[in-house]
Amino acid sequence: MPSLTLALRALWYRRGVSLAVLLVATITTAAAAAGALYQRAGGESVLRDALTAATVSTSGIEVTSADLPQNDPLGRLQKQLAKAGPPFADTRRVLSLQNSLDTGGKQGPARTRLLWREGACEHLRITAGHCPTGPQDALISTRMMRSTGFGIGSQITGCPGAQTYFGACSQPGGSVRVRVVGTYALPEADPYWFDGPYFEAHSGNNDQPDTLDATFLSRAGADHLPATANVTAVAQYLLDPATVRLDDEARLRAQVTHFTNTLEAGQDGTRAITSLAAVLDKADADRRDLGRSVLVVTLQLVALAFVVLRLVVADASEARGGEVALAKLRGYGAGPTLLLGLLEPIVLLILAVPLGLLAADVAVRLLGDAVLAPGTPVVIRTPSLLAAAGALAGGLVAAAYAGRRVLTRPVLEQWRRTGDVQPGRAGTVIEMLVGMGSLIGLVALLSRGVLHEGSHSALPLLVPLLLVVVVAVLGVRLLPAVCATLVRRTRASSRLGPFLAVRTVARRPAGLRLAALLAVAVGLATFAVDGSLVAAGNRAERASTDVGAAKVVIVRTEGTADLRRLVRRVDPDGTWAMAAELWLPFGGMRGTVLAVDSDAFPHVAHWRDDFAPLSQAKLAAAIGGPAPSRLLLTGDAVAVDLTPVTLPTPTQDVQLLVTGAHGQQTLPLGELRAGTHRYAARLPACGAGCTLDGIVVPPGGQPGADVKGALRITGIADHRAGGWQLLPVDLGAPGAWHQQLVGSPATSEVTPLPNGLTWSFSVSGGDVPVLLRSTLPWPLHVAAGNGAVMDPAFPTVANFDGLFVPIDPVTAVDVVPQQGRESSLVDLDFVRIALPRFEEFATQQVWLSDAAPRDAVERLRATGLQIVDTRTTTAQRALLDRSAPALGLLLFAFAAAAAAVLAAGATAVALYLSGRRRSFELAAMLVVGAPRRSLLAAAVGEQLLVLGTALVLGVTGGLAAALLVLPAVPELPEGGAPALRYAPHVGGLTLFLVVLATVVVVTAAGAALGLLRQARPGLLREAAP
Amino acid sequence: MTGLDVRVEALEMVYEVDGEQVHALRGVDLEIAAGSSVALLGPSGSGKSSLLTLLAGLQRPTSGRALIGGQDVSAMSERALLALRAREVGVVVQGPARNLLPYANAEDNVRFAQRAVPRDRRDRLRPPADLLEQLGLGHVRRSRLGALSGGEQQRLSLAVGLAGAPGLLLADEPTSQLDALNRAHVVEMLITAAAGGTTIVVVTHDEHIASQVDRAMYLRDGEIVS
Repeated sequence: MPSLTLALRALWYRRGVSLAVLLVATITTAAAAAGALYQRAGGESVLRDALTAATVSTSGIEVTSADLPQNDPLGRLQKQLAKAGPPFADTRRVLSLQNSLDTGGKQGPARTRLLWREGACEHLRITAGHCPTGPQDALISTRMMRSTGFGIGSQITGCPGAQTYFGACSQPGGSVRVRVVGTYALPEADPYWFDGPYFEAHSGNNDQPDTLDATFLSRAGADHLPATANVTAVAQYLLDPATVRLDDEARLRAQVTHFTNTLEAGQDGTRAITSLAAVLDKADADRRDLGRSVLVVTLQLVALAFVVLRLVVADASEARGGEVALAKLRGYGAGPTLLLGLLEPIVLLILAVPLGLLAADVAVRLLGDAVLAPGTPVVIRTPSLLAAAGALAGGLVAAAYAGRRVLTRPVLEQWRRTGDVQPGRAGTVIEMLVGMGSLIGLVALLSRGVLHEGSHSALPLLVPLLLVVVVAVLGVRLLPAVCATLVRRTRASSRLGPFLAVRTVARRPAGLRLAALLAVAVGLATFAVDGSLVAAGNRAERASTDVGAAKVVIVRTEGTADLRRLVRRVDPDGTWAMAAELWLPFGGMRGTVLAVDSDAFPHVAHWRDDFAPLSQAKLAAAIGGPAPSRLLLTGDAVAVDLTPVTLPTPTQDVQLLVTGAHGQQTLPLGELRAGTHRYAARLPACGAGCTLDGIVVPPGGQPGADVKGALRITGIADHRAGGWQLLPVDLGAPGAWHQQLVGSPATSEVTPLPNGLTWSFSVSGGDVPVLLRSTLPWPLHVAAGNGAVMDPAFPTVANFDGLFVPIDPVTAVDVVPQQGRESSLVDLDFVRIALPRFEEFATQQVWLSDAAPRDAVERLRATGLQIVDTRTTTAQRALLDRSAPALGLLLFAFAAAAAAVLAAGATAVALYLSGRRRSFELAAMLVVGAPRRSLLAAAVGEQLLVLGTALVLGVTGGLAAALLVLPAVPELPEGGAPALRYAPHVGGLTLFLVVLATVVVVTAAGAALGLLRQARPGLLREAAP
Repeated sequence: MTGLDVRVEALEMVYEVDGEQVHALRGVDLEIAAGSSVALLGPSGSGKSSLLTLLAGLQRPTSGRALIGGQDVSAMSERALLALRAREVGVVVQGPARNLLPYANAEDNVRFAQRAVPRDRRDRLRPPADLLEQLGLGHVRRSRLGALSGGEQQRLSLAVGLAGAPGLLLADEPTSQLDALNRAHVVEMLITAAAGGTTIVVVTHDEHIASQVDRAMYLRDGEIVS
């Protein structure tokens, strides 16, 4: 029986081959184990990201119970919560009591939320006074203080629970009176607030009062609300995503279901709201997608690894052929001979199990650190161990299969062998079967339509392997035939090198298996390199488009501050910062409208050439553009030349709207008369000048009467230096004048004339016909998203206050940065003028480009902007990089890299083993007088033929696979913009090809030089291997 | 050591090469007494090595019988042949590389050969170090193969063939490519083994060996001519 010591010595003696076997076996084991490990870690990452990306209110649970204060709704709720038990482990719970209060401020009725919230003052910055402690104490926001005129010490009275009825509380004794004891600054984003609508300020819609920020009470204050006020007790449970692992998911679902069911079974109106199940469902679906990708990729890699392992072990077994023959010569029985033949591979395969597991663990940990969600656990579990055991079993089978021929070969036959591993008939049949099977699989997959764009199947990832296998197996079979043709041609040549090279390849098809394997590895690597680069580019595009700019800061302004002006204060030229406001129109347009500083837009916002038919700069100019100049009046009187085309009925006065030092004023011009007249009025003290804003025809007669009429305006003059001077007014310029519209769209028309304009109007319901001097390009210029304009015949946009503004869709936009499709772009300044109250429901943002200084956010804060939240393209990119489709592709890239290493290992083994045999041949040729240079050329040529063919076939197959398959490979989460691009990444591929070609040439030259160095005539005196 | 007698009866060996039949042995008859030493001589292709491999049970004759110690090796199963080589027949083939483990030292090579011997007989074998000492290789017993000269490798091959104390030693060209001194060492080893009772059959071109053994037989075209 051969001893283990001897086996170890043999391993060391053949350390090159042993190392290759160990490497290949380790990679095989690692590939199998890493698949399971990666799937698990990826799943953990996907789950954590899903929970982290979800808002706190989505992943958390909110329990509400409404009751009268005297019934202690919070106490009752707490009892129910205690009965239901906590929904999550290590959860954080915030209790609150709340109601609304209708009160009045200096600007009219207003509604605030009366709120006691556990620990609120720890999450608020008190700007003056103190936190409420007594039952009458109240804490209001500085914004509310400014808008209502309340201050510290002010009494706030009102009716709780929206019980106002014509200015009085509908319930007797139901009023609330509190005293302001402090003010707070609006807080920045904090999970504590559970996304609650506590900090909102906007005008009321229709007959609703304006909404103000929350007014905080003490617990005693909340408990002592009037007995008639229905108080809502709220418990909010925050889920910490870091505490949830895949193992916990089922228990978490069960706990939450039990929690909500227990609470809602109480029949007392208690409601528990959570979207956690939907978040978990989405994560599960993503995880399943990832699992399918991992399975498909891992199976391919493992299959390839097994092929390589079989080849390497076969080579290693052949290397042991002499010793097996010796054992038989000495009379060793079948058992010991078998052991002698297989002990080395068995030792290596067993050694590869812990090494493979370790390699898998390290690789997945490194990957995890690089791309998975921070803190994602990587733990070797049963599936990985089973996979490693499977790899070992497969390796042993491969070893037994490979060793079978050596073990059963007669001793004399072994001695007669030259050392070549000639592919047997069975091997050739298997290869052809693999080729045909791949072809059939490819056709079957293609005919099943797995390659249609947007597919969420992992099967497309199988196509590259099948395709490159077909190309490789069929392609390399042509090589001997091609070389046989070349043999005839090169035979007559005086150059020996090419002849020997093609003759060797034509005669020894053993190298074809290696070429096919290399071609497959190169093909997969080509596909993976291109696929990774293309997908990375698409993810980068998506991340930039999702965020809109390098960094987007969600901000809040106090009152009616002009965001654009504030931003321009930190970036006067608009080269790195841009004000933007996101708004959802109340009518006229579908989708969101992004109002931007159009001058800064081309410098700051992300853009791609297919976002719109116009370039970014031209689009910005189209929605911005110069506004008509203001009409400056510098004299002491102003006059308008008017001709009523149709005298308004009933007879009306006419007035001018003028803005001067004391704001806007109405200047009466007198009653309209038939015929052309100059209507004049004295100007108020204008100081540096007044501006003429518009012409008004106030309704006469009954209130609310309809007003119809048409006026021709032919001149505007101001009185200066004792005479009337006609102003150079572009009355006939399109868009220079427009009718102000209030309420439903009225019938109105402004028709430019060569010497003026005609204004026709017909309003009803108390509306006033007003012809305004446009201070923006009129109608409002809009870059409209697809289908955004509801009525193309009469395009308008409406605000919540019922104001309709006509719009001019100057250009289409397919993708709006940050908003994607079905969104539109307008100029921020112009929309503020056109719809003065649109900001009340808009989200204010500041977009920052890559060129923004590091302290840009601090500079913004210094202008008084309140920073609510920040999003960056980098963070979004990281999130996309670890989405389920990206993780699947990443594994494919790593698998391709592993395949390349495997192929390189197989090549190294093949070159090493064939080296000695070939050196005998070369030595013999040297003896018979063949020039060394010719032999070197022959050796290099042979290697180049084999490796070069593999390279060409592999790259061709890989590129074809990339073009064919990439559109069907899931790259990004569903939906979103912009459209993905699949054009080959020329730069990356070129670099990859240069590296590959260099490796091939260096390998071929190195192997040839090594061979020739060994080939010395003295070698012929030694026994052939 | 008890030598084994060898008897060959009408042994024929026909190969087929590229569709043509090649007669390596043509009805060879031969008897070698136990404990005697015989040299098989003849030109290349005369059938010497074929006869040796048939005796070693490494291939089967086309017809005829080869009996070693009364056992017909041409009719034995592979398993029985392995057992015969392990227990009774030492074989030394051409070239040290085929007789020795390249990564083992001299002592381990001897031990490797002895491990094939059944346990009941193995205990009676001379320890490798003693055997190597006796055969004049004591100074290289810990040396790796690569550190040995060609002559030492050839002598080690012979030592390995004798390691199992066989009743019959079959040696193919044990002195080829050796200088005179090493040839003498090898011949001395063969003579010593024969003196110990081992039957020796040596295929050789070396007339010196032929002169030292009990009997020299010449083969030509597959037949014994003298």
